[in-house]
Amino acid sequence: MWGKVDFIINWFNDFSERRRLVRNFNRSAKGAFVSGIAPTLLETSISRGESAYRHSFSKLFGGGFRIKALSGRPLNRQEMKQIGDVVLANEELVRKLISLGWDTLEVHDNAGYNGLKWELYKHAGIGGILN
Amino acid sequence: MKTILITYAWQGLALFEFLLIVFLLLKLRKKTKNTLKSNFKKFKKNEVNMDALMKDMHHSKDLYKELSRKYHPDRFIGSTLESRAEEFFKSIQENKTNFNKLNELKLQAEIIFKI
Repeated sequence: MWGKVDFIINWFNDFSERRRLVRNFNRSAKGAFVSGIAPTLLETSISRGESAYRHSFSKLFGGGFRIKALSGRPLNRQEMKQIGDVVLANEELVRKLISLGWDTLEVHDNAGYNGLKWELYKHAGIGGILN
Repeated sequence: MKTILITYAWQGLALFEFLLIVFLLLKLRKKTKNTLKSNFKKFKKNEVNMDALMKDMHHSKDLYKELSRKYHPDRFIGSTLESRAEEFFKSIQENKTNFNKLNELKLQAEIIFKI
């Protein structure tokens, strides 16, 4: 019984921490856009993620960390790759994403239909623990 | 009479020492508790610096291009700074997406290469 209680408490804790991370990202992105640091407004949301990229800590129906760029035009591959590469280069963030149940990083624009996806655990540098 | 007074004085001193020890122990315990609490709070507040991430996303590419062009090792072939340029170029590539680090490297380069 206590195991179930623990599971429920952990689930709610993780949920609030996930929401906090998304909120922090969005707040910073908005701040950067308003103050002129960033030319594009970015927004993150939680998506379903790629089922092929799932790992043992993935959240059900919530494994995708989607970054949407409100650029007003379709972004080219290089621009999307730049955004993704910066996130993946930040190992602390990637590890946090994995520990909170995300498995896929998605970058999209608001105008086009194309996007890029990355498998997060390949970029966490954790020596294949999740394999 | 004198002996009784001396005994009381010793007892008082012993009591004072005992109270002092208890007081110090309690203080130490409180301090340990506070450290644990503050550590936990720090852990809970351990947020990723998103503002720096935004700068990395939007400005690191331009700065990387500028630095890699300006301090490319090919520009220093045959000069005394050739090996330093190679090292510097490596560190630029390692911190390709880190805007703050690239800025630091830029300042260093201005001193080393004087360009």
